[in-house]
Amino acid sequence: MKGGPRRLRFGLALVGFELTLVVLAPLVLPNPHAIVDPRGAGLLPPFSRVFVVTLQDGTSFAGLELSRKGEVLALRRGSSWEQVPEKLVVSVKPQWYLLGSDTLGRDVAARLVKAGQISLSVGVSSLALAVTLGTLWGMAAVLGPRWLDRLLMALVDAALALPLLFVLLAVSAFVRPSLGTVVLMLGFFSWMGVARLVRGQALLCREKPWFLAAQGLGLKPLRLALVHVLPHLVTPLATDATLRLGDLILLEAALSFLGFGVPPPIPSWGSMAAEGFEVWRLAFWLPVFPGLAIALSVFAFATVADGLGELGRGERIAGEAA
Amino acid sequence: MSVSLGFAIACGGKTPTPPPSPVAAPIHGGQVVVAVAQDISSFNEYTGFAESTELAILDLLFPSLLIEQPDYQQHPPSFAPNLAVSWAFSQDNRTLTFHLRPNARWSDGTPVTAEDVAFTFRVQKDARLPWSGQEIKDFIASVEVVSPTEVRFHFSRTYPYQLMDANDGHIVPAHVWGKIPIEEWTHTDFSRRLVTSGPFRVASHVPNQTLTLVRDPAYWDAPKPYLDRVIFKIIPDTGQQLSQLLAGLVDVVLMVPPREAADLKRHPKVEVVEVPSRVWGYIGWNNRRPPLSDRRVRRALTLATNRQAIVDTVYWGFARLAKGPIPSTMWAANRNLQPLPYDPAQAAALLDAAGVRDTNGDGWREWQGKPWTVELLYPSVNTLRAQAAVMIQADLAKVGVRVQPTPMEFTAMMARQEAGAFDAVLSAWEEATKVDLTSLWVTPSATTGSNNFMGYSNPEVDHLVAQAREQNDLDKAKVYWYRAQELIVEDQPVTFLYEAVQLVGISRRIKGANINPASVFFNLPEWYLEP
Repeated sequence: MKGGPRRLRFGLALVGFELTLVVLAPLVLPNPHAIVDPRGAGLLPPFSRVFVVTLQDGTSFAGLELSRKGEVLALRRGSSWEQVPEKLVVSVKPQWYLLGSDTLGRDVAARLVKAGQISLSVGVSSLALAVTLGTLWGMAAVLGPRWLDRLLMALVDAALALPLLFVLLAVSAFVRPSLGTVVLMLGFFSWMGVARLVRGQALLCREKPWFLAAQGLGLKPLRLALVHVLPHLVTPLATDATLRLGDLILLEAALSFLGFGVPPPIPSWGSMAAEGFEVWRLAFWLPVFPGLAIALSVFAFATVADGLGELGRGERIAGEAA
Repeated sequence: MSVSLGFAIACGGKTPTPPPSPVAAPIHGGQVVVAVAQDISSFNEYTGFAESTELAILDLLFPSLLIEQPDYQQHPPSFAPNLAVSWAFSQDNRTLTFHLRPNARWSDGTPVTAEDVAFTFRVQKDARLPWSGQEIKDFIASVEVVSPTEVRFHFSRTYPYQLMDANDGHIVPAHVWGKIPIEEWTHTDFSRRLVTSGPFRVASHVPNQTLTLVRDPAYWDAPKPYLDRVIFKIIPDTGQQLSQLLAGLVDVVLMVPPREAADLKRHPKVEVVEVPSRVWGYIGWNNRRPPLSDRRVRRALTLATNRQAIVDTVYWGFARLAKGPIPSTMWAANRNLQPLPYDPAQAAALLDAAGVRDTNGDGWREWQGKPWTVELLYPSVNTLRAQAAVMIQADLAKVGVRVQPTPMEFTAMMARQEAGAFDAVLSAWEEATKVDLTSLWVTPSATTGSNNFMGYSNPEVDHLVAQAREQNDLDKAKVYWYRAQELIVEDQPVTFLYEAVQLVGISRRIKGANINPASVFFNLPEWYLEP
């Protein structure tokens, strides 16, 4: 009983930490899309610093080391030193790469955080869609006529029988990838579990004396659903939704990993992992950070869900004892 | 050799591997394992689309009349004897006679004869089969069997590539495959009807795992081959292929990713052979869709794209800036061509002149008062293209052109390409060893097959290409080819990006390998293992 709240607090702390990072970190990190001279600043390890030299014509170069010899500025790009006349240089700025840089010299930390915003918002939006659809479906099954229940649940079973990832890949071959389509695809293919849960819980409610009483008073199905059933679904739905959020984040990552998720240059943890995986022999840290971010999010939401579940069970036991 | 869409890369260039040292005599025995990305689709190349690796494997199993030499860079390729020991043109160049080797045998003991050559020609011309090389035989009217070892090709006209066209395609066994009705070919499993004639024969084939070849004791060029076995191991992932090469589980990797090459070159047990290939990458613009139909706009987009940076970053320097429609390694390439410079300022001026301007001051250019976005399609599995797409997007953003990179499943992308429903495609093409600009650059007509999905059309180019093709004097032909290339570069129907270099990883225990632009397996019968 005590495990519940403690686990819940831990999970919420993790989620809070992640949200804070995702919301506040962009304020101090560089532009996640900025391509910085790939030859001088590509594939750098964490905690690297480069000097970005901008010339009068707007072009810029990056190098790991810098030295001035009179009128000439020398810059080490990769393994070669290159020289520019000092008078052509407009500015020299150091740039730190907290978590290293990718092949195009983009800041991995900034991309990781941006990808976090994307992954979390895709997860939450598709979850909202799935929960809404699933709740409507489940309620309709319970409160409608018997044949409707059978039909709707048969459809749920049919939809569940489809191998999800394959269906998503097949669908994405025909739609233009964008943030919106990814949200729609994920939402439209993950409401079935919610529908089952809602139906199950609503069926339990239907047996309860207070429900029978309300029904006996001749209340309309809609009112029955909203006032007498829905409030009892909040805890199980919340538990389920949190757990599902982790799944959706994972699914989005899988789609993006395979190249069918959010289109570039928008970063996503999945596509970052895929890009990093390509070069792991040269920069092993590149696939590690997005991998950790995915694992941490799924773990955080699962812990919250667990905590909520235990809490719910606690409440119920307390309620029955009283 | 036929042209194929170049995302399955193949051969190219000079001869970088040193010839075997004359001191060590080749020794018999041992096996070599070659990593290939995909399984052979059919043992009968006439029943489907065979990409270049597959054709290279078939080279080991089925004879061709001659062997095309890797010297297409100076002139149309020359040929060495193979099944045919000698050949001669008639006075008027319309008849070509081949004399066949009397001691060539199929793996069931039957001699390989002129009948097989004539049968193969009938197969190649059969419109019921989906062979992509059918047009190669367009000007060969008939093939006549004179005697079991003499066969005559009759041409309907004379042109520089007659010998090449007569030779293209492997000879298949008439006495076995001739018994299968042609209409059943596309759904026949030829691995069960396999009769071969080459340095190797098939010992076993486990689909999608391994194809094992063993030396054919009846091969006419004894004591070759030196190897007992060649095993093709199907490993789709290039990273996996590389790991297995380093672990010694695989001896040859056909395409080392450019980014890994520098590291691999330092490895003591592996050699990286650089072969300039005939694959070149481009951004194909929809020449039918305004404002891309305006040459100034296409030129501007090229000028605004920093192509050298893409070559350096995405291909790690293992590629060259492409200049025009004929790869620089080929004899007809116009060496005076200059690639358009990287010049955003000039690009901006051209776009302004073409009426693609930022009229509402939001930093992005509009076309006819509406926001203009160029959708750039590329195959989703190709991470190199994804990187290039992002770089192109960033470059064009600097001149106010909005680009939306769109990864697509390959066949879906092809469908949009063919339907003309696209703005731009990031793709690559593999050129044949035959110089011909017809398929890609000549105005598509309803009657002939064309790969000109960009919808490029310049009557002057059409005219020049037609004249160049028929010109038997190569120096005169060059004049037409050169001018056609200049016009195409001026028009920029595509933005020429890079010419690829094929990187072959090969174990140092293999000796005698001459990996060249004709094929990685060019002299595989002469490979042997270090004692």
